[in-house]
Amino acid sequence: MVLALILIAFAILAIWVVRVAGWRFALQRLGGSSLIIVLVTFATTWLLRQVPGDPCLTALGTGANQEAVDLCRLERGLDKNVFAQYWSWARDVLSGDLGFAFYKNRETLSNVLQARGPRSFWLFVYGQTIALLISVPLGIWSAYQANRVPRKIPVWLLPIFLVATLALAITGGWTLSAIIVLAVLVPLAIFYGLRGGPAGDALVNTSAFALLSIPVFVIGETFRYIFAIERDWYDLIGYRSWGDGVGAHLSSVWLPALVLGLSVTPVYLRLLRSDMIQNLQQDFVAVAKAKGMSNRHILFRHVLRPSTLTLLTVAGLNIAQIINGAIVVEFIYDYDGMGSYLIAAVARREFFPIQTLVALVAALFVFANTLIDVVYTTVDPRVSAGDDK
Amino acid sequence: MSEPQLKVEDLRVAFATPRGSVQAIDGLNISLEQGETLAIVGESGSGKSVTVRTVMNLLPSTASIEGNITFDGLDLRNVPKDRAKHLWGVDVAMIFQDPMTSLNPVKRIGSQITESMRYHLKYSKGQAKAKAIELLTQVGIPEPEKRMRQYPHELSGGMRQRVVIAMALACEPKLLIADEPTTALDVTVQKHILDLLGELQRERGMSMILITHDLGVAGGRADQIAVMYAGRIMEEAPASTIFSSMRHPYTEALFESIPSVSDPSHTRLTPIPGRPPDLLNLPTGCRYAARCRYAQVSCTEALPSLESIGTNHSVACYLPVGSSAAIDARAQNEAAGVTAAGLDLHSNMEIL
Amino acid sequence: MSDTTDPGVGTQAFPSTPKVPSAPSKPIKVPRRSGGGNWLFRLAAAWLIFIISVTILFAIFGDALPLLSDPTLKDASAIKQGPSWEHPFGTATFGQDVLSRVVEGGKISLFVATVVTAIGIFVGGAMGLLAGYYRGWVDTVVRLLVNTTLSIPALLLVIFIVAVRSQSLANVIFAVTLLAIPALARIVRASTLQVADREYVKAAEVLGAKRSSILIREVLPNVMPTLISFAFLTTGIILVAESTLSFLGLSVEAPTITWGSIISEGRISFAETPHMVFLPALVLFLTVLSLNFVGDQLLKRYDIKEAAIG
Repeated sequence: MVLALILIAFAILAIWVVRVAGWRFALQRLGGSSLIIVLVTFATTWLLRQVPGDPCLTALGTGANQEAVDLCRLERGLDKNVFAQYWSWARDVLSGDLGFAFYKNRETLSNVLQARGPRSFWLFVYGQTIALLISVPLGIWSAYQANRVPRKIPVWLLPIFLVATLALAITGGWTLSAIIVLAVLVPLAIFYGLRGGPAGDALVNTSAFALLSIPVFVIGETFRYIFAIERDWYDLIGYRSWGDGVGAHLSSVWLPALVLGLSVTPVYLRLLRSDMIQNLQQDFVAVAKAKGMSNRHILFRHVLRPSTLTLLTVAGLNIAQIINGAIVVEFIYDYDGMGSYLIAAVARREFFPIQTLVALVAALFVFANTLIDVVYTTVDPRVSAGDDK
Repeated sequence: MSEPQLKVEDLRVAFATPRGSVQAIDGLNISLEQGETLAIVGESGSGKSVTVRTVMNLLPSTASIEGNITFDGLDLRNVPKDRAKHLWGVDVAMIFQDPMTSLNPVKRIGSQITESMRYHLKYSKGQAKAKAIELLTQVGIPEPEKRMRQYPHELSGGMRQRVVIAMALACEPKLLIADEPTTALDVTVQKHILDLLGELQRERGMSMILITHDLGVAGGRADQIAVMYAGRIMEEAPASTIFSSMRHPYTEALFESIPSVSDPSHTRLTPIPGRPPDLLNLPTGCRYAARCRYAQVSCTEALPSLESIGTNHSVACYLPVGSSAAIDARAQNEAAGVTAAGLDLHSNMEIL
Repeated sequence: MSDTTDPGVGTQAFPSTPKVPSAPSKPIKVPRRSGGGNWLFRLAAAWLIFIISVTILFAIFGDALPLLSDPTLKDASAIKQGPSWEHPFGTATFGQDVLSRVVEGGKISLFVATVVTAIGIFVGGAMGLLAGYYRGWVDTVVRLLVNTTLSIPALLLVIFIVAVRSQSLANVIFAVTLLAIPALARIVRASTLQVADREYVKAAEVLGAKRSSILIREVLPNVMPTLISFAFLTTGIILVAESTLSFLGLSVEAPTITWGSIISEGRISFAETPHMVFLPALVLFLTVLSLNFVGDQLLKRYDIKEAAIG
């Protein structure tokens, strides 16, 4: 079923590419992507042979009888060379047989995908949405403020503040001083930031930079501590589907999605900001100003569009980062999607489903990137006209 | 004589840079009558672009501006907010140097021309489109309907500059500012564009400020010519008199550096020795003294002011070309081989 | 100097009255560019560089410091205690001193990050340079390898490799390196393409210099800034990758301590031991922040556009 959908999507994409960009381009792109998909899946097959000992033996447990192990080796093509093994794997996958997820209880990977796939999908969608909802407005605002008249910040406050904090820390303890730092410095920074001008831009950009340096699992654990341990705003009871009601569904995903979204927000924000600042310095912006167009018009009609194209490409490349993040987030929140399945499978040393999963994700990723490339081609007139590079 | 259409008085503009304050314009006066053309001539960095960008309100936030700019009796530095919304782009419009970058690459030509009409004049889509097609025809673009749907990269440089001109004319400006409109174009196209500008100006009775580094370009097309150097006007005169009776040594040197058809074929052009002063660190005296072959001690001590010496003709020089003092000064410098400002008159060819 | 007579200008009567010099032009006041921002920035920079040096020094000379004890020393009287003067970072599940564990773990984490970056720079840099300068089949092969590797989400690939082979230090380094090489190769290739297109390289080619010597004398020095900037950024990324792996329990197995393993131990009894999560996480964050900061500043200084590279 899943595979049929993927194939249909692929066919639609192929037709579209041919219509938009012509046969040559279509063949080049699709050929290139297919080659990469084949290489990746082959590499995973080859890596599987690196398992110390025998993956079949590991999968079935040491107590398994020789007959079962031999059957498994035969099924997986492990008794032949790597090409034959790859061929038997590829044939199975292409005919829709993804193999067993857990060897002993004979649950198929297709079943796991059907049960857990949507959970990861929604997490991905919400995460991406949150990231864009935060980064796009902030990025635009930040880029706009960067070009405005600087406002004076009372810098002399800072050393006074530092000395006061230090004194407090020595006399009153670190906790109190930390609370006061947060209570005074953060509102102060936000206050000066919100007044706009380069200070506002600096605030946004610095925060994004700091956020970029926090690993996902640290964000995840911090939020878990704040929202699920200190307070019970989020129950670690696992995923609720749309069928259980919108409220139940959203309350079961909001925290993991927020963490996932926050982890990619700075990437989008910084990119959009720097791209827009660069565009704001272009001649055509001065021309639009000379035409007397309003700042808002210039920002949204002239600058945002070329920058959106850049954002689109990065959003595509970022799918990989979100998948990385999703694995970690699902692990932290016991969110029973594909990521936590993956970790569980690794722990159980179930290599066959992992191999298939890695191959599928890689294929999906290559596919998504091809799609974005093609969208880019159709949206950007400079590229579509063929005067690229 | 009525009040001039555009009047700039004692304009000073400085930019804050990490290395210090750059004095881009220093005490500049301009006045432009309705329907006239003023050409501002100068080397790059002389402040001519900054001048018009100040008028267009396009300077970045790092600029500090002093002085008065009046347009049609309106103080351009303190325009009421509702008037300001529909002033630039409507009454005053500007054409930029490089047509390759002046147009937004991801917007269609049509929407770029019509957007200002729709925004300022509240035209309907249809009205704006009809007007845009008319404009494109006027600036000499064939198949205007087809061009409207195209993107900038599908047009040649000359065509793009015509589009930029059409864009600037969309709201029927009273004053058109052209900032080196032909510098980035092929020589063959340059004349067409300049002729087109002159023609459109005459038809519409617009005033125009033409910025150029080419005294020759300014000569045939302007009523009044102002020669700028290092943020100051050195000499200003009607185009008809500036060539015949130039008074400033800089104008003279500029003139000598233009090739002329009447010269014998291997005539060597005379370059101006040295380079413009560092705007971060300006000399105390005349800005041109260091490169001037007439320079005397007095020139390096105090800044000469712009003095009127005839109808519409003024010059900022202690030793105007042609005066007996200037002739003496030059003879004295030639004899010494070096000017009072330290310019070596004999070896300057090697400097360049 | 030519002595041409001034064209069209006769020695006509001319008012040669000396003119009154105009009032000396007073420079107008200009506000400073970034009202104290630079000062703040330098402070932040100094602080971050301080952090990075402290972390490295601790990792190398940590054993000699008085505050530290044996990171594996169990103390039944001080189990899961919060920060105190005796144990600035608190104590772990069996009463071990967390600060000592962080220092010990830093050795492994920083070692992995440094080694991986070094290998990545050498191998990935060489691949990128050759592909970007010689083009042709070398480029095709490198591009294919890079695109293939980068088409698998990094963490997924590393998890798979570490799972398939055993969880030893060598395998972790191997897996993470496999990630660093193509990423750096891609960046260096893009940078090389830009440099190879410049006039001085073309000039050297026209003058008939050997291509290999052009590569080393002209191209390499100009790719260096990019390479060095990304070396810092990569170290940060690898540090995060390794910590994530050990956080998930997939890096070097216990008893070896890494930053990620301390955090993952602390999260199990989170309500009792938040200090075991937050304090090592803070150290990790500050280290990565500093590395990113240095890398980012180098990129800015050399005016390297990340978008153009990526």
